[in-house]
Amino acid sequence: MKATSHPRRRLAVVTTLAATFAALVAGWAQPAAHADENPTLDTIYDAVGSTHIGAQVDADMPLGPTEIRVKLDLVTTNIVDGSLPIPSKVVNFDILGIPTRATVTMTQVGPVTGTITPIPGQRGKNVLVSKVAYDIRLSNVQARVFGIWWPLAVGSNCHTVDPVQIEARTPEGEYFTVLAGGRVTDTYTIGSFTGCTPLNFFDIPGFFPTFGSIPINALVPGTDNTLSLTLSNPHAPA
Amino acid sequence: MKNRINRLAGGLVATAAAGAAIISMTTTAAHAATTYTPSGGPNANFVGTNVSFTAQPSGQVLTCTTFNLSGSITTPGTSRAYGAQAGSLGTLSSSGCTNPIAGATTVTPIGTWKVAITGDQTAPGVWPAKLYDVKAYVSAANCNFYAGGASDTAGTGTGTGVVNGSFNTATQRFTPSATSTGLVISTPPVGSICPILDIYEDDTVQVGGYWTNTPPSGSTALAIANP
Repeated sequence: MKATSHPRRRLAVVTTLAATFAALVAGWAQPAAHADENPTLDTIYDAVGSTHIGAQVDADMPLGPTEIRVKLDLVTTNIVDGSLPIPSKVVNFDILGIPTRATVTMTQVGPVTGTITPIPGQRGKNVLVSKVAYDIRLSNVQARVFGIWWPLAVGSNCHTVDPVQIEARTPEGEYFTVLAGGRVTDTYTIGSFTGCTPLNFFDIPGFFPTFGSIPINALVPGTDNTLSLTLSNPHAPA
Repeated sequence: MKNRINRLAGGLVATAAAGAAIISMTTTAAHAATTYTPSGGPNANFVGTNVSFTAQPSGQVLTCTTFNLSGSITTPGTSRAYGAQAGSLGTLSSSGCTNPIAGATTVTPIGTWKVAITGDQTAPGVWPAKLYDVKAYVSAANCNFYAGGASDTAGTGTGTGVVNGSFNTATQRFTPSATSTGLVISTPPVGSICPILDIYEDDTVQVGGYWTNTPPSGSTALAIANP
């Protein structure tokens, strides 16, 4: 009899503990669930602009045309979610006077967040702050020598070690309106790259990822990168 | 000489009399009528087409696929002063209201709206008219307010507004005037998003689209005549 009663008792204790744990978890989870209950508004704006990559690249890259989708918490007026896909572009620049070009791919990491804050005393005018991070990947780097574009293999995995943090906001003296949109700007930092094969090596995945990134890291990373993006044509998602 | 003076004086008097008569006739024409008589009905059904509400100066617009007003003609065949009630529209319905940004919204008409002719016809069959006792509750993107009369200081939405326009007896169409300013956001908008949407109390609400009286079975079109 005792041999059979112990497992039952243990089962009961385990069940009680599990129930208690579940109750605690549910209790902790409730505030977060409650916070999510605020009504939200999904809105899409057309977005177009450009970014200037400083450092040794010193070149402009078009941003878009694309769309920024934002989910606005109607109680806090915070942007709680969103996306801003940036289409890949070919950027032309010079390395030691040699015309060079590369495909730049910006992949969003995490959601767009931010705030819309009314400007006191100026009805309808707001300051928009939007935060978003991107992994920047370089590919198809080519140099033009003797009139021919020569591939400079950087591999298929040449990207920033850490995502580039962009905090674009309404510039001083300008404003954002819900109906007309507005411009946002930022000066941001591009950090080091990793995963790049040597510029004069063929693409061998995983081959000399750090060594190969040295030339790229000598050219691209820097703190003087600027961005300007104009948002317009607000509309509800289809 | 005396005769000549008398003849001149007589001529002046005659000219003055003729002038006075012309002025009198002109004055009479300007005040052709002060009363009107609606007829038809007894029931009326104003079906809205492209009815929209635009808050100014923000430009935020709500468009409703359905916004109908139905009721009855008030004592058809009886003359009344301009501005006095011609119809009472107590059955109000709206649906399919949207804002380009906020998406689905609600505009809930409240009370009994009324219609009146306000003056002489401006073209054959076209009479200046107004919708009055207008009130509605609007909820858009968590920004809520009443639309009605100028500044409802009690914040209860008790004030009612006016939409001036014209009624065409041939088309049975009431068309709001683009310059009508009698309908406003009558209570302080509730919702932290309202300032961002640029929605404030006392903002004018312009009404777009038109309503066509489509008499229900057993009723006839609304006709207007003087006196």
